[in-house]
Amino acid sequence: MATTTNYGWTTPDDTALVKDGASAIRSLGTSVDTTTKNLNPSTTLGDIEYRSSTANTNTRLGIGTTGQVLTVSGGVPAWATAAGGGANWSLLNAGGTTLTAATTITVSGISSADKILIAWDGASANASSEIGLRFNTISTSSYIPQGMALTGASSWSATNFASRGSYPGTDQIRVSELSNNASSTTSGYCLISGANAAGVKAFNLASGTSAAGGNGHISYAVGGVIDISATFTSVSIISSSGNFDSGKIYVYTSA
Amino acid sequence: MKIIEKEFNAITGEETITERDETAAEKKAREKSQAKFAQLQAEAEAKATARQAIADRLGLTADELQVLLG
Repeated sequence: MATTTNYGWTTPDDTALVKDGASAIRSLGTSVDTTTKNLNPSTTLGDIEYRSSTANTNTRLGIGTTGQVLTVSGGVPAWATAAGGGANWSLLNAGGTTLTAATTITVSGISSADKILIAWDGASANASSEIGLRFNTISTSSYIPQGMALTGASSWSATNFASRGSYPGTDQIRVSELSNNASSTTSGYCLISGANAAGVKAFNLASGTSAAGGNGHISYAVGGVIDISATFTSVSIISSSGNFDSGKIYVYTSA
Repeated sequence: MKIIEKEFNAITGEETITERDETAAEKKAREKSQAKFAQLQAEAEAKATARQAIADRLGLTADELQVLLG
């Protein structure tokens, strides 16, 4: 007996003398019916099918519940509750790292973080010190902030508001300059995107700096890029003049 | 000038402290900050001196001058 190419249904040979046509047709019909059911096992509204490990036999997957999404589980499709949206941040250095007794304070151990949020609170060093951030302790001219610098002065000047452009780059992201009073402090944040990718990273930064009775302090509202291709594994906060003597730095990460 | 660096490893909790000589770039940045500080201090002192001279001419005490300047 001959069989069909794809599903192997039995049919009479061209030369066969059909003695029982009804039986042959019934046999073929049964085969077609079985195959069709194997390929389309749906029984209920919303069912979908996928190929099983057996040729020409699909598996029925009943509809999921409201809000579920189609995902893969164990190598086959499955309905599952959608993961929560958003970045799912967590604090890497529990309680923050105290800024004291060093000009450079590094938080390392960052891994697989696409986004990094660095917050510094009440950071202080010598009067008029510049405070900056670096990643992976890289000090090449790779940091390119663009935006606004706001200088505190004892009298108003139009130059108190200035643009901040740094192409082709500086050796760190300047986040603040303290006033000429040693009690001046700075707080702010820097958000890094693409930190775990092999390409240029983007950042946004805003800071505020207290006068503490002095002047000459500078705060920044900038964004820009960091032209470093390595994934970020550490962040350093740096004082240009004197050790840090107060404040904390917090490092949040998100995959 | 010595530079003190601290590293806090957030995975292991280990803190390491190293001390080294400052680089030329760090020296330049430090001197820039110190020069800015000195300039601001000089300006503040000059302003205070000028202010006191005016107060003396007007016969005002330091407290009265402070009230006047708000």
